[in-house]
Amino acid sequence: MASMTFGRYTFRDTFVHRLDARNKIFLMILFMVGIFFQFHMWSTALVLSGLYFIILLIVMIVSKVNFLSLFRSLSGMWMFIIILMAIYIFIPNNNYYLPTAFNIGSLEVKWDAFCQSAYIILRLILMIALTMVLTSTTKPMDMTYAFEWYLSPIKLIKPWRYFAHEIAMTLSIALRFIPTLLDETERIMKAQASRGVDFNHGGVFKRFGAVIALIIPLFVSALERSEELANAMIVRGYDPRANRTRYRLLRFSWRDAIAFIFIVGIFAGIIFLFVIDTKENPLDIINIIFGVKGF
Amino acid sequence: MGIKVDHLFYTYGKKASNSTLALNDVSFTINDNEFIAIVGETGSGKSTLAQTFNALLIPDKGEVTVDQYVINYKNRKSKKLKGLRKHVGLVFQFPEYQLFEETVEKDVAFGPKNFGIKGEEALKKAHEALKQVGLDESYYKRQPFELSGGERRKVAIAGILAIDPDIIIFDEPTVGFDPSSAKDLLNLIVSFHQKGKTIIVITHDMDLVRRYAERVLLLEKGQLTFDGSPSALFNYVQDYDRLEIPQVIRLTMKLKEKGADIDVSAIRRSDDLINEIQKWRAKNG
Repeated sequence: MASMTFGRYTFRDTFVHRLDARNKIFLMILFMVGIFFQFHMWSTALVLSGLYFIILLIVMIVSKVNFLSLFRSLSGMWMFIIILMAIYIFIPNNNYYLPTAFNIGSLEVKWDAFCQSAYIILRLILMIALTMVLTSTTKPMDMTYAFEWYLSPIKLIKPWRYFAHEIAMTLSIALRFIPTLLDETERIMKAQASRGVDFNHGGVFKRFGAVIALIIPLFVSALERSEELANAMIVRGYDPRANRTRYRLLRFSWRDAIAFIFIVGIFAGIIFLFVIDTKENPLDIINIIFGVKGF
Repeated sequence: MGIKVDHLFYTYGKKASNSTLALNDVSFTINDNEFIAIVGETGSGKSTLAQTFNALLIPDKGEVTVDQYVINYKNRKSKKLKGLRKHVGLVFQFPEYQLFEETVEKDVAFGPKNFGIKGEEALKKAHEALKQVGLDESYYKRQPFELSGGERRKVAIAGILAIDPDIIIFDEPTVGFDPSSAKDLLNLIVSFHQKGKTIIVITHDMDLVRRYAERVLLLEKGQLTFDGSPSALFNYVQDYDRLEIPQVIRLTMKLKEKGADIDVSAIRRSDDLINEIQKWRAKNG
């Protein structure tokens, strides 16, 4: 299906593509955690968000990720934005810092409600974009190897020695079969459409019935396929408990060191700002930089 | 009920850089109660073409007209197109993978129910269809998933038959069947044809084409390169090694080359060749 291009691995030879998958995953998680630190002043949150976006922009340009596909994947979020706004407007909260925007009857709507929802959406966009950078610059196989590496401490527990490898193998097979199952879905949808199922029109009950007619055959074929695959693997002598070598090795190079220092440095900076930011004495970046009092 | 195909174009992956032109200016007309075979290599556009007949795929350019239904890019979102699928039944390749209900009869009745036939009536239709494909009452209450592959395929075909379409399209119906089951299935298809249905079979099996088809369409890289009788096709593709000419036809052609006066177009099965040879011998003493 052509619509599944979002975040799919595309081969390019860039700095980000060449990074070690383990490093990339770690740094991405670190960056995401950094994004979710909350500050007391809106101006601080705004300035830091701007900084995150600039960093993200640099990463995206360096890794040659397609911007268009990011926007396309965000276009489905408008419903979410409306619900979020409604929640912040109608559910009272006593931490208001900003003046009233307007009144709906007796309800005072503060500017905070809009800022709050905008802030969450900004962070969500950042998260989505980061994940997209990761998945479109890292081969799925490398990702599972990295995952296996992170699970390797489990090997120390005797009965779970092979757990990491088994999980990684399962994951890699699951990733491998996503396109196959998408094709299968399309095929079954067409077959059921020939029997008069309408997937696009009709009420809730009708659509529910249509989904059943799609999901059951899909499960049946997936289960049959998995059994066949398992047999094929056994026949070719696959043993999850064997000691194996690897064709592709993950290596930590000078590039990884640079990326590591860069992101960890930013993360440390965010933590520093977070620590000096207290309710009594909130951090005001605007004041520090421009000498104007922030909000 | 016939099908009129008018300058059809279809491209896969229109937005992607690696788009492929699956149908390239295809035009022909299928008449009422014809038995048509569509042949061609894998990837030549056969299945794509068949899927435009009941609006599962909407052509980019050109149109398909079936009765009062017009399938083209302009009315691609029309709700009327669902009604078209009552008239044009499409049996997919490996249809046994579309079963999902807990009993055979319920699964077969699923189609008629979708087209607005109520419970009892739909079950009656299902029973009729099952009888036609040769599955008796003992199957009605069984689970589809405990049946053998061949039986499941028969159930799936009954699922389309129960809708009672006027045109039935089979996509590679005999793939993966042993010769005797394949023969049973083909006899079944022939019986539908005799009941007045228009039959379209997509196939690689030239023996099937030789025995049953009245007319063959050959697709090559999305273009219709041949439209005519099976014997004319075998003549046309004599030195086209991608289509397997049936042994009997090959033998007949060789005999004719050596001077035997045999009409190749009269040969449909091996018995015909024996008859023709006997006739020829009688004539020459």
